[in-house]
Amino acid sequence: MADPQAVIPEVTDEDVERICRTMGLRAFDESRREFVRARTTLDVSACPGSGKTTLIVAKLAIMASKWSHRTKGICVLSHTNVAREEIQRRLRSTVVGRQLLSHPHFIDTIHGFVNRFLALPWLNSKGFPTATVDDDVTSEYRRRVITSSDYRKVENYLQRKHRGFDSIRLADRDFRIGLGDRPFPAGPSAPTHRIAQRAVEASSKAGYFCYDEMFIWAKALLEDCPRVATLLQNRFPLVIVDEMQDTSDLQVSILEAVFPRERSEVALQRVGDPNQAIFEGARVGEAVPGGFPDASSWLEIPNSFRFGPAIATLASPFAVHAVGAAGLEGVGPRAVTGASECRANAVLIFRDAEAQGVLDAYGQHVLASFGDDTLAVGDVAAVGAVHQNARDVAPGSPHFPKTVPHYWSGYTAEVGRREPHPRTLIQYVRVAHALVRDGRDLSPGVEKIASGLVRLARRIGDAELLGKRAARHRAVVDVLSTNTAAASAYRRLLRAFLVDWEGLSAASWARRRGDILLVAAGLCGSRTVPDTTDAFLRWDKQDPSLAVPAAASPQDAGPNVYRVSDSAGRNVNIRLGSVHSMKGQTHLATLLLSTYWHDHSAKRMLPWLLGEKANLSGAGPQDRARLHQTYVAMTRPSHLICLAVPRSVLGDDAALDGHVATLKDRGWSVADVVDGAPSWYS
Amino acid sequence: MYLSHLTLSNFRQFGADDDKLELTLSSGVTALVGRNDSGKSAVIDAIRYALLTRDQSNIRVQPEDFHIDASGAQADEIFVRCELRDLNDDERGAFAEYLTYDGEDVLLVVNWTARRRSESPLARRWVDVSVRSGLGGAGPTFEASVRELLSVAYLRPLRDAAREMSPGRGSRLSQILANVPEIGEGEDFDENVLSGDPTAVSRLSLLGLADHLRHSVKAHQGVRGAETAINTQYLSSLFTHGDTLHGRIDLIEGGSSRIRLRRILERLELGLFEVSTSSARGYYGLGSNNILYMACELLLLGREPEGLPLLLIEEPEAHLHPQRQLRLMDFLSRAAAGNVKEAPRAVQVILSTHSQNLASTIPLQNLVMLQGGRAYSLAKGETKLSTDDYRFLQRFLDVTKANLFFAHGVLIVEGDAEALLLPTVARLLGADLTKHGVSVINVGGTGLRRFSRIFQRSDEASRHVSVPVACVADMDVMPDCAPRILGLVTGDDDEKWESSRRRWRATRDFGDNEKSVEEALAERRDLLRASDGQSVCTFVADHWTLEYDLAFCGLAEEVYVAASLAKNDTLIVQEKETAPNVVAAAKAEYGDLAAAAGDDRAVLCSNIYKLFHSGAASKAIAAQYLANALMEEGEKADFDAATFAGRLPRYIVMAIAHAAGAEIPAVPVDDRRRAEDTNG
Repeated sequence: MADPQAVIPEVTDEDVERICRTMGLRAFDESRREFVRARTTLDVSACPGSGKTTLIVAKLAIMASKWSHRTKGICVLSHTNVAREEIQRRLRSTVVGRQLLSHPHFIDTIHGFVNRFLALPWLNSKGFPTATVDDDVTSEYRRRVITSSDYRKVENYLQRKHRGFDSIRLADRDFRIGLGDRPFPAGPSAPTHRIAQRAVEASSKAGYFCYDEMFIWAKALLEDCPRVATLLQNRFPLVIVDEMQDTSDLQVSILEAVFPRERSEVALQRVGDPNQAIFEGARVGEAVPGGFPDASSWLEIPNSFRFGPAIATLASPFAVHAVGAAGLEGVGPRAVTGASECRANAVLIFRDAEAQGVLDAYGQHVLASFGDDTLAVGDVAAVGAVHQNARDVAPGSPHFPKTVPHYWSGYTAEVGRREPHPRTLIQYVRVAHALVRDGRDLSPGVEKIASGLVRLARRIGDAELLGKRAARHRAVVDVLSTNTAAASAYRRLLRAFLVDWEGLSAASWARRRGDILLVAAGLCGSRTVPDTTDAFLRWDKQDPSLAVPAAASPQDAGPNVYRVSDSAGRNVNIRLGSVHSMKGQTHLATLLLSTYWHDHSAKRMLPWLLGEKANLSGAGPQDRARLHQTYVAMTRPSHLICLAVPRSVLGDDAALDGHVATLKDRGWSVADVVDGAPSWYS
Repeated sequence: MYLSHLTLSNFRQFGADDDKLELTLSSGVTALVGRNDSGKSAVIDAIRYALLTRDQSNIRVQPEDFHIDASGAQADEIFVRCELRDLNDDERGAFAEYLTYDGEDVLLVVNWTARRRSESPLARRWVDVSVRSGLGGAGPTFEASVRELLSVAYLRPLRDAAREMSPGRGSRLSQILANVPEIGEGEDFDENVLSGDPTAVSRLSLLGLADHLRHSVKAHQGVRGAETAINTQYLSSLFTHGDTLHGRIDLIEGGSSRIRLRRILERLELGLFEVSTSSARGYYGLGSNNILYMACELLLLGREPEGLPLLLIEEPEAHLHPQRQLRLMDFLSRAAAGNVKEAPRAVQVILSTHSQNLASTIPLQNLVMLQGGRAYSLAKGETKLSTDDYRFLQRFLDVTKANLFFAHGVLIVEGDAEALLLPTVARLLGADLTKHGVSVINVGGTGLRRFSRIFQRSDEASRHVSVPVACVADMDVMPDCAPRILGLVTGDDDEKWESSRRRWRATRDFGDNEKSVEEALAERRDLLRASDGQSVCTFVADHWTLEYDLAFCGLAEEVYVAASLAKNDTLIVQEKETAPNVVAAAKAEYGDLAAAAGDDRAVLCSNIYKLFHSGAASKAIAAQYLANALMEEGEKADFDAATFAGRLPRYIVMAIAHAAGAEIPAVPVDDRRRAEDTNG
């Protein structure tokens, strides 16, 4: 196979102008044009707020309108479902774009790609039944195939190792087991190991797998049939990987095996921001896998539409990889809020033990800086790198403030999971509510409720009738087609939950129990309603982890929102969270809280803040991680960035004076937090 | 990429489990041969259901597609499985998510299932169709655009090719042309370029030409004049002041470039004309148009860069005279080998036929016999035929012999005499060969086994061909008296008995006492039947040849008379002699011979056979006379089939009974069974 350029259509300036007109975008500058035009392997580092997704969608739309091949397509891979859905949603809105949503093109997560093209074909070829890939369903299946005493034995054992039965994973193609990131703590002959082994083997034979286990089968296919890489290269002359900085080693190793960068047959275009690579867990401080970005074919988009030059200048030194020739540029903020860029980016110095006052001072500063019209549409946030509870650290401790809850004890770390994950049926209903609120299409909500009922059926009995169909609602309707009572119960449930929006309460939930069990029994092929005490059916109060923050309006007083009022009675709601949870978001104003991980982050970042260091400057792995986090946080706001700095990290009074002068020189306003209000250094 | 295997289950005449149809196909031409209702169309239709066709004709599952089993119960689920192999890297890429990896091999499996949901086809969603990939259909469902890539070209029987090639909305020609890769080539119309360079017209694309025409039409004086007149003389005086409407005369246009191109193509017609006069000669026959149509489809299939190059043709012999059928087959095999210039891609062709003419032209290994709800591929390795047999049969399996593919039973004989006589004998025995669908295949001396092996499967464990095949063979052992009677030797001590060069055999060659002779002859008989088995059974003459054995058994006088007639045949034809005279003389001679031979029937019959041996009488002509004589006898009021059967050699009667699968009065059923048991 030859040159991908023979297959990938050429993009002319005219195409670019047309797409900008159609999508209502401002004209592309040269580096954006270059990306849209590119037909060769290329790494693109796109700074925060550079309109990366829009740019990818624009490129795809142009390609789609000129694409003539029926057997070769474009492959777009992203890290999260959220990013994939965003791209798909935007392409779906145009006729040309829709073509990219089906064969021969492919838009999905890297996991989705691995499943569809490698793991599932391999499993099918080896005679495994249709695979169900889901951590929860699989763990549940594994729990059910062993006796409950065996389950408790393993669970108790793993609990003592700070893990659980749910963390058991297949480790290789020979059905050995482990805990994902480490081996099973007991040897292969230990009873717990043997029980776990049995459970995993049984679930594999039945076709149940966890997400990450699919990489094992993908690798098995690549080992057994190395030519599969060649044929996928033939299929996809253009591969765009989005959010490259977030990919894991596992994902990168598969990507490199299938689409090696040195192969000229494929134009592999990796898009991301190496400066926003922040991870949880073991990989803190490591470089972005896959050597991203590769300086030999590297394109940079250094200007952000999100914020103006002031924030750009302040954030620029924190970029591990120096951005652009002239540093990070800000050409925003876009006129979303109508407000002009705020000049009072502030360092708020607080006495270490009085952390909560920072939020108040920040709130006052925001209220003073913006009118109510702006606050009504803008998102005001406060973020910290560490947000897990640390009750053992109290004010007065040298580690205080260590974590976000130390700034506000009302904070719960479980909030803000990016993809809500129901654990009980009522949670499925709540997620369904969240999916369909604001008059959106009902079908994802229906699908969610059907999934919950299917999961219930699998828990209480033998739901073989359902098969493994991906379209749950359809499957439920088909199975219940001969069972009128259950079918109408199912319709009643959908109506109550999604059409009539029946208020959810313990009492109303109890009333629905009959219908729910009737449906579940029907799905197991039975007409008698079972009596079950399954915890899956229990009523629970609103679980904060299921709040879907993006869908809530900024002024909603939800969980993890701290409210500040000024003397005139005006309010601002400050949304708290981890840096990680705020990735990809745009705020009106962001406050970066200092947290403690081996050291106070504000202390470690001080040389960069004062301009003594810039970019990587030989920073060790820990500081590298802090730089990433600081950079991500500082590039969230469109208008106002504030830093919370404990007084202790700034040294004695003389040092403080010097630091304050330096900070003011660099464009910061500096204030002491006094009684929850800023007291500005003139 | 080609369709390598097909499985049909519960589809029309094919049942499930042991009764499903399994069919392995080769990448070139495959011809499905078989009688009416043997399932040829079912195979073609199953492929159309599972892979879809390019002409976008909508075929829908019909209630009668669901198999009805022996008990009368109708199946609820039809299953069609197509296995595609030999995918190149591009094709593997195109279908990557649907592939099945089988060791080193990569295949694409299409599982088509139709499930009946309701008794009535009028019900909404009365049937559920799913098309999934992978082993057991456990892979992903095929997307519509992928099924389009897999769609096949299909030529229906008795099609109206003239209509298909004529212009009009959605015409087949426009569809074919739209898929020719170069159809979009050429430059756009640009008035400025064209005014400076008149040769630019030749570089215009089709759309450019259309624009050019439109431009010219609008510039035409007459059109312009009319337009001006409408605007200045009529519209302006009818509209009130301030109206700015304007009339314009134009060709009908509009729509996207794709739609405009389609409209241009739909106005094209593919016609035939005489090369010598270059004039259209009016209406051409269906046959010529059919050839044209097939040529078009093949052109498209062979040139397309992607998709499944599979052509299904039902009864290509429709409307074609035999020579054209042969030319067509020749062309199809070249197309299948990718040897057609301009269309370099190898095209797989699957055709159904009941033309003996086609069946005899297509290489044997490309044939698939459909019989009794089974498909029997004659590919190498599937039958007991050796490579040498394929070469032999390619030469000697001619049109007349090709009817064995369509027969209910087959009688394979070694000579004209058997071929002429056996149908008559069979009719007299009440087992009319035509009525029983038995083909008599005359191999003319050699190759008896080669033909019968067509019906023998290499895999003994697989289901055997249900067509009974009877081979009729001479024993070729003379009685000891014959060599002297025929003048081969002068007496018992003639040294010729010891000659290594003699081509004949007599009884005494097989042993010195009765017992050892018996055993040795039995051994020889077994040898002649050595390759029997499955539905093939060889019936060996008791003694020597057909004529001798007929005479020996009970038709001595009849054979002698027939031989005499044959000897005098030329004189009779020239009317220098009359048949009754010859018959009368022969009867007298026979009386003398019989008297001279006394009780020794071997001597009598050897003397009768002498007429053939000397070359005086043609065996074929004698057989004709004998057949006529027997027919006359059969018309007599007192004719009794059982008595008649008693006068015939048993091996003849049993061969007919086997091939016709019929009851013959003189041969009780268990007797026949015993014969078959000892044979197979």
